[in-house]
Amino acid sequence: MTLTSPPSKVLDPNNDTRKLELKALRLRKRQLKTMDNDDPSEISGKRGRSSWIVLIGLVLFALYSVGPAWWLIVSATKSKEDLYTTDAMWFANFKLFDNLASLFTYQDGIFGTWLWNSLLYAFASSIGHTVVSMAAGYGLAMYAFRGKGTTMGFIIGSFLIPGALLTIPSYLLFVQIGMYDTIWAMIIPAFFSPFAVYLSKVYAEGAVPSELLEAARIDGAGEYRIFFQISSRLMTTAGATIFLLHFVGSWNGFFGPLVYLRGADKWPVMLGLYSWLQRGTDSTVDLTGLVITGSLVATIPMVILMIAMQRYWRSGVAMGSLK
Amino acid sequence: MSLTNTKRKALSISAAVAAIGLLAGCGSASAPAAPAADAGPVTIDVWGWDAESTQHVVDAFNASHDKIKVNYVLQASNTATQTNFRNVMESKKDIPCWIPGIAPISTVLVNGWAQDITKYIEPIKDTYSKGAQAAAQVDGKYYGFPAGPSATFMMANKAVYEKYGLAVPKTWEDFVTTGKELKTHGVTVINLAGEDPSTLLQMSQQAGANWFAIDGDKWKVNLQDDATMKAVDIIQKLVDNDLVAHQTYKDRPALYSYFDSGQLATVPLAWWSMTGYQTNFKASLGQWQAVDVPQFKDAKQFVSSGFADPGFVPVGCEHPAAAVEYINWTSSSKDAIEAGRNKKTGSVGVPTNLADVSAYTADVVPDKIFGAQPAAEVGAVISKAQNAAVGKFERGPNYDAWFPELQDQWGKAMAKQITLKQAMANVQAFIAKDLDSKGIKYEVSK
Repeated sequence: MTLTSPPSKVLDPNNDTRKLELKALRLRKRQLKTMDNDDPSEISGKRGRSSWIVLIGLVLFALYSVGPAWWLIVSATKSKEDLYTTDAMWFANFKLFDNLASLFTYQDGIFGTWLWNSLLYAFASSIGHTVVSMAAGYGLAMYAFRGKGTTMGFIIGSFLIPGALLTIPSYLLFVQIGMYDTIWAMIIPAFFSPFAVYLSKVYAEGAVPSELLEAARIDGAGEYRIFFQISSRLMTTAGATIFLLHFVGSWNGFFGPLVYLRGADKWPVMLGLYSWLQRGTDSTVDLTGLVITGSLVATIPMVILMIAMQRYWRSGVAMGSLK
Repeated sequence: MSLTNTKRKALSISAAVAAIGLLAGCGSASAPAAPAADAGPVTIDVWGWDAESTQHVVDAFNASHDKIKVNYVLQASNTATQTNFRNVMESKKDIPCWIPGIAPISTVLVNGWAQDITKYIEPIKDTYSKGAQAAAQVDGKYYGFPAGPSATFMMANKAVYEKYGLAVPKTWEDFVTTGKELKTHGVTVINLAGEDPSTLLQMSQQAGANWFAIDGDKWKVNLQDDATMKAVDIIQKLVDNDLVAHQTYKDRPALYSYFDSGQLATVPLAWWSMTGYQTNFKASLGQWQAVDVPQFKDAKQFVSSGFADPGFVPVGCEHPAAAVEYINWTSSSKDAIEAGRNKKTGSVGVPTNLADVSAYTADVVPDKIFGAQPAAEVGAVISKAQNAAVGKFERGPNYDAWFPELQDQWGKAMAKQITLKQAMANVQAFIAKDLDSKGIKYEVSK
């Protein structure tokens, strides 16, 4: 009851609730009104137009991005007779299962081996790559030591060397140390990446407060324990990013395996598909259809990985250690 | 990227031959009467990029030979083989004893890659066709194993020729006349892709041209001799009168649909590309007929064209005799050819280097594209072409450098910006400049 209310009126609880209901209704109406695009007011009119333009742009961009993937899906369902002779963006006779069957049986079913190799190389090398980069970046960010500036200089400087330039020297080195034509040539060299070290250094500087480390030291934790139990958890987002970037890179890796591996049984899937594609042009067999189906199958692990790792970025952004 | 980036010593041919002689100095001066295995069982690596039959052939070889064990290393492609071979020659470790053809034999020799295997080839050479023998020699010595080209023959769209009451031309001169007839009906007589000068090379080879020759310690270069000009003249007439199509091989769907449309009368091809055409033709299936490749009017005998890059035994392989024995077995033994038979289709490829391939050609003919023409007849056309292949067409020490230039010049000629004659002069000038820069001795013959 307020002072401004008419004295003759006695407070009536039912009336009060009615008022509240009306108020809520009015509020809802107003909300609906502001959400409505046909609002005749000038400002929202302009906003409507520009949002349409943005929407059209986004739709076009989406089509542009999805187009190749759509083509891949459609083409994977065609027989080789239909591949070149029917509409590229629409289905012909549905032969996906026949294609899959020949994909996994051609050349004694070597495609399965290639997939497995790719998974092994990508997982093993990405895990090592992530652990080494995070530890090195964290060390550079958190400790002061003699030669820190020089080390950082070397790391930044090595960005300038294109990876392809190192292929032949690496090949000769691997031959000398006996790593050539072994799976280790695909895994161990991938542990070391200056860019990933730099990335995790920058992230650690922002995400790991030095007060926390001091507190941990006072509580008697050793440096390794601090890194593995506290700091690495604060750096999950950087770790996930580094892992994913490298995983994708390793999965699509081509030139390394081409030079460092000898026999087809150790090839990853991308190199195998390339060998089929090359064979398609100047021989009696045209393997283009198998390559298309194989490419579709080979993208599936990437899609699964992307979806599975999304949560790391979501929680990573909201995560703070000092609540 | 490969080791070619490291500065390679450019060798003149005589220096190359001398160097190979020194490197491959195989102690024994007396040549064995036949390729015999080196004493004791030896293991050799052979490389290749064929994933379908070679492994079976190697298994069959290992099962039937106890003195030599062959280990097959599968490479991803021709290009990948070149990259990895350059690397292995640099690291000197696990050098293979056999590499299939990755470049013209003279290029292989100038790079210092191939051993002289003349003494092992001489006793067995007659198993192979004259063309195959010629293709494997440089300056009279075998640096490669006899390799036959997949010889050119033609497919003519019979329905088109019959519709307009024309005969399929048998000479290149008639080819132009027939082309003019067909043009009045809106049909092109042949397709010449703007990026692919191979028709010019093949016609020059048929006419008897050799753009490169070895003369003592230097190369003789001549892209403008009478034989080449015969080919140039025919092609120029076809282009000037707009009798040809220019469908590119880069856009396969468009290419196949044009070939299939009845707007193209004749397609030159080799045996291995028949299946691809059958797979991708619809409307014209059964209308095609295999015919001989046209000859030049004044030709003394029937010849067909096609190039082969012979495989070779790399310098640094310690068992050249074993390597030759293996390759000879795979190329000529009935068991080897049986082992290479495709389990699904039941066909074997055409062993193009043999002196007589007539037993194998009918098997590779697909069932629909030639309609009523029996497979045996198509096979006969193919073996006639194979047996009449010239085989040799010397492409000089710097083919990698001049071929792209020829592609450019050919493209300009196809677009009528220059004449083909000018193009040849330009390419020859380019070759001269390139050989100068590499320090290779040559002279341009007039």
